[in-house]
Order: sequence, then structure tokens, then C-alpha cells
Amino acid sequence: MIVTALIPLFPLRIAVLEARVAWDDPIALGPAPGDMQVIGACTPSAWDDGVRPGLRVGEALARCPGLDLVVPHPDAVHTAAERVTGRLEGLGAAVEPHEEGAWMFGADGLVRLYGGLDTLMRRARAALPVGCDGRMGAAPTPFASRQAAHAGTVVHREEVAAFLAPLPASRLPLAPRAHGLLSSLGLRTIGQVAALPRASVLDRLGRGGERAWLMARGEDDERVRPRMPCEPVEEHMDFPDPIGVLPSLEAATRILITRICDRAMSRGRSVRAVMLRAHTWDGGSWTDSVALREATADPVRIGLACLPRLARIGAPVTRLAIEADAGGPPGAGQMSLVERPDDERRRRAATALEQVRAAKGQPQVMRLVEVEPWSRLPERRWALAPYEA
Amino acid sequence: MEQAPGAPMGTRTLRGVATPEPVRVVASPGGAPHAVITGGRRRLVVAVRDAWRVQDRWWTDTPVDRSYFDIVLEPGRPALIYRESSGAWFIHG
Repeated sequence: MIVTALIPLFPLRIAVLEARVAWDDPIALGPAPGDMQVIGACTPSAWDDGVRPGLRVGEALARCPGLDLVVPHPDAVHTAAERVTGRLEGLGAAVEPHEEGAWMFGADGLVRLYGGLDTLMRRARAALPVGCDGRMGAAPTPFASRQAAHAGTVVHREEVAAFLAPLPASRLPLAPRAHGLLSSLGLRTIGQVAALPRASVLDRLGRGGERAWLMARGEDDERVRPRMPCEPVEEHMDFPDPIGVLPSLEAATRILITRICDRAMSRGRSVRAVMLRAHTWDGGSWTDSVALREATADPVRIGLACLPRLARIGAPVTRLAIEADAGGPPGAGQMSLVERPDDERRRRAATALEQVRAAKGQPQVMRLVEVEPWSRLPERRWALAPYEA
Repeated sequence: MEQAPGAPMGTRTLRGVATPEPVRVVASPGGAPHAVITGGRRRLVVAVRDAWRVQDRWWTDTPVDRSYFDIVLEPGRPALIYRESSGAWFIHG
């Protein structure tokens, strides 16, 4: 069985908590600084007034004059999600944070430990924040488990098809075009999709449609992919005067990266991934994550990957934080003891080039380089330069 | 620094690619190429795949005004030739 913990409208709930406003009021997530002027998720009372995610701000306010817009807070969402993930992992579960507000884990190894599925789900339910409409569900497949969490129930293998049948077909993970096709064919429920012949689904909707068809019948072979355990290291810097100048932000980031690398090296580890987080002066936040191509403890290399991302921050910054996964292997980035075959081949090629050049007196092997690739004159686009090994 | 067609590009270490070379072309009074004389051999133009005009670098002392022809020479060899405003023909190597 796969257990799913679900908090509907998780980013909105976090933003509402941060803004200290009441959930019962008509509230919607406003656009982040620099983003398109459309609103995000909204509370039930705003929904009742006709507000929908994706509406332009002006149209949403026209439909619901009392609508309150809260600033998205991705940093707080990440922190809260990480806390929930940590609590569920504390139960012994290998958790896959599915998306914002959903967590999945396999229950098979834990049921005996906790003396039954009900007890396990009760313990997992206690790991969710209070007052956030947290829901638990369990089913044999990830898709059915997620739908079971929406309903707050447990679905056994023989009940999956009957449980999914009345649910709307829009819950199937399909591209918008495929959903439009299902709608135009009059297929409204998952049960209607599951009743179609497999060959017809494959013909009209492709491989993605076939996968959704298997999900609709509870026959898919999807599995939970738990996250790799990480060793977080965090450093932050507060700015009494908000900083909106890129060079200053880059200087602060370099200092934080150096501290992160020092801490990682003191543990004998290297950095695998970095998350940049900024609190902005308007009360919102910004996050961006960087997965390094290979684990390293070199501040310069980490800086090369991180510094260009700072230009995406859309407002002056009051607090800058860097969280790194220092779970990389010790000594990453060191020279290898045994030479690679490529190095030997490259060295021999360089020696051959030197010999040809010494014999002929001029460069004989050339490399094609771009000069003015945009030029309308063919002879100005490319040139040959001596090949340097 | 401006360079004449066919001259090596940039510094001494860079060599041009597709540098134009003078060529003799038999053309109609309207300017359409009929035959190209290369290497002492006369090759008929089988097809003109495309033709366009390039006016560039007019802000410099050596403005460019070329009428390009993307042609196929017998027996099926593609070539790119152009005629300058002076009437001289060139082929891209």
C-alpha cells in the first residue's frame, strides 16, 4: 500500500499564515514581483464569488471587490514542506515529496512496525500541521493513493477501479489537449475512460494516454521514488537596508558560499545541490535551486553556477540565505590517481601536432571558429584558427 | 579594418573560409547567369535555385552591393556566385 499525506492549497495556506489574515475571507495568491499579473490559488469564499486561478488581477477584483491578495512565499512553503517531510521520515518512511503539499511513502515495511495501517496513518496524520485540512489516504498505486487522500479514505486493491470510476476525468495526468479531446468525446469520468479499449486509447492519446488509462483501471506499475537523504547546511545574511544592487548581492552570496564550503569541508564532505533563498522588502520571498553537475567544495565553481540566478530576484532583498546539501562524497573534485585513457590520447595528439608544426613551420591543423555568424556575407561568418591541443 | 574579398581574415593566424574568388560568368543582358568558366572549363548553369540582393556595410568606406545567385552547374554541382555593382563576378570557394 502507498500512503499519501495531502494538504490542499498548501502554498496559499502558508501565504495566508505569513500574512496573518483569516482563511474564511476571500483571499487569493497575488503575482510575484516581476511575474504576469494573474492570480494563483484562492480560498473557498473567493471561489464562491467567481474568482478562479489564472484570472487577471483586474478581472478578479472586478468579480470580487473585497478580494485580498497575499504575496506568494515560496521560501516559507519550502521550509514548511521540508519540516513535514522530516517528520514523516522520522516515522521511518522513505518519503517522496510529490509536489507542494503532497507526500507519498510505501507502507509495506511500516505496517508491522506500527501494528496496522490505521495506526500508521494516525501517526502520519499527526506529522501534518494542525488546522491545515491535512488529509491521509492509502491505495495500492500512487495515482489511486492521491485520489484516496483527497477523499480521506483507504482503498484496497479490489476496490480501486470502483473507487476511481465516478471521479472526474480531469484528475487524470494528461496534457491539456488530451483533456480537451476527452471532453469533446463526452468522456467525463475516470470510469468512462477506463472502459475504453486499450488500442483505441493508444491510437487517440498516445503513450501518455495509455499510461493514464492504466492508472484509471488501477493497473499502472508506478512506484514511489523516495528522495535521497540530504545533509543540509545553511548560512544566511540579514540586510538592515534592503539591497537591490546586483554586485552587492553577488558579494554577499560569495561570502555565504565560502562559509558553506568551509562547513562542508570541515565535515569532510562536498556540496551536491544549493538552494538560494531571499526575503524581499515587500514581505514576499524568492527561491531557486541549483543542482551541481558534480559534487564540489570549490566556492568559485559553486559561485559560477549560483551568481547568474540572482538577477531573477524581482525586488530589494532584506535577507539572503543559502541552503546546501552537503552530502557529496569526501574529496570531490580532486585529481584522480589513475589517468584516464582520454588524457593519454590527447597528449599523443598534442605531440603529433608539435612535430608537424616543427617540420612544416606553419600551423597545419586548423579549427573552425565562428567570427560573425549573423553576417549576411558568407566569408565573414567563419574562419580557420590554428588548432591548439 | 575592412578587407577586400578573398583576403585572409583578421590577424595572420586566422584564415578565411568561403572566401570569394573572381570568376568568369556568361550572363544574359538581364543579369541572369548562363554559364560559369572555372578551371578553363565552361559549365552551364542547370538551375538557379535562389537569387537575392545584399546591400551591407553602407556606413563604411567599402560598402557591399551584391546580387547573389544560388545555382546548380552541370553535372549537378551546387555553387554560390554573386555579381558586384561594378559588374565583376565572384564565386564562394
